[in-house]
Amino acid sequence: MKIFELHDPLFLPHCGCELQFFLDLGSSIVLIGENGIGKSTLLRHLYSALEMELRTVVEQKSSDYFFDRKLITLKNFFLEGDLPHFNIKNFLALWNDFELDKKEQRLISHLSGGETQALKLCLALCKDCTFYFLDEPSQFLDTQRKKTLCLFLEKLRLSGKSLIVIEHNIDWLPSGWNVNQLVVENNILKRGAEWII
Amino acid sequence: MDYLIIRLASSFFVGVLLSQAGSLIQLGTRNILASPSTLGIDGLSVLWLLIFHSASIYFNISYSSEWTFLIGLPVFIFMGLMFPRFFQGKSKFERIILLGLTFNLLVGAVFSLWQFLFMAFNLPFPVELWFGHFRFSSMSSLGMLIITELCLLLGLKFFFKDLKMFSIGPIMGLNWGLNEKKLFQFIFVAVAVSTLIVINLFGAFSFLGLVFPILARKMWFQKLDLGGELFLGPIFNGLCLMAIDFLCYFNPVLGAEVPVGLIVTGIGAVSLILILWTGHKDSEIVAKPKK
Repeated sequence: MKIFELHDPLFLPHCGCELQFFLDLGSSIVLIGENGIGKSTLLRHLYSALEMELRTVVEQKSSDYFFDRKLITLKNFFLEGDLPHFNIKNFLALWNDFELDKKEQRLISHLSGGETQALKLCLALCKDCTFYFLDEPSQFLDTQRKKTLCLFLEKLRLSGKSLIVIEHNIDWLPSGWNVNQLVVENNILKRGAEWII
Repeated sequence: MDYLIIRLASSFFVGVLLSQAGSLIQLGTRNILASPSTLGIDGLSVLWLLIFHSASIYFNISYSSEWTFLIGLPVFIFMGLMFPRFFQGKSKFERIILLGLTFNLLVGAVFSLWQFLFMAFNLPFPVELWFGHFRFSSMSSLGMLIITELCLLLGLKFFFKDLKMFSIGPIMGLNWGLNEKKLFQFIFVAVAVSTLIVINLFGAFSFLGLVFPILARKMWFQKLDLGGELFLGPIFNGLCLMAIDFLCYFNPVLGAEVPVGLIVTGIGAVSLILILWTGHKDSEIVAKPKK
């Protein structure tokens, strides 16, 4: 199995620390840990080290939709927008599996929290790239949508993509994924017993 | 008759420019309270004109308003290019809007003081600058407005896809290669130049850049998306301003024409109060998903 090494060592400018994080291509890593230990910051540092065409990111914070438009308008923009690395098959599959096709005439402001999260996932995961960074992707999702997401992520992993996911509840994730417990000891972030910075 | 056509065409293009400038700045800042007035660009333009006017009196040079615009153009383009650097990393524009409003108040105070001093020394002062009007519309000023509008339309055509991507939300900048810096530069240059030309040639029309985009968005956005707000809406808003100017022209009060800027500032302020006061979930412009 090929070991892919992110910039070695990666420099964390905010604390003057160096970070080493090894990631196999086609692997999936789940980071778990208590609130406030720096999981999202770690994820941000990891994806910032990669070029945009290599990765896609789903951030935890809600996406701000300034304009209250119908879902169909967003869908049409993506289908006709000629976006780089846009995977139309994945987009339509996610759109339909998340049942957004049934809500196409609705305004964004009228969507529920779970539907908004599904929309956010759909707009990010339709990008064809090597690395997928997901910060708590299952938040607000119901059981059915979690199942859909699980199947989609597993399909991505099997097709050779690398996934790094932050989660608190790992019950919905596919079995066999590499789950890493992150802890902070003496202000140092560790993965299991091994220091990563 | 020729004068009236030129004047009405000028008011139409001013309405179009202010509507598009307001839409761009509200889109760029993702804030419905952002406008050339509330961000202090109006104040900067008035200050520029006051400095130019004072310098021309001091050096005893006569000038036309077209020249103040042409000389101010590179200054305002430079400022437009620098604005994004100033705002870098600031996703919350509330503080900047507050700064802009405070700056406008400061310019208002400077304006009054300047006016007092000029009148004390019996020097000419552009008192009508604060409330715009189209009394001195000319073919050359109309020509400059049309050229500015054409440049803006070209820019909008060039950046339309980027504007659409930006309007979807931060996810597009994060994942889809949107060059936000370049887009911001276009937005701020377009807004700075549009504001400068309007204030320079006709004076200030406060609140129009704030209320016009909201009107355009409410009427056409859900059907025609950004195209409705940036193209169809401004045409309607331009016609509205033209109609108000038409009424002002044909209905003088005690023999004097009421400045259209005064009327639209009043209407704009009251409309904004009503929009913000009666605004409930469905009329909220910012789409806040339920949690």
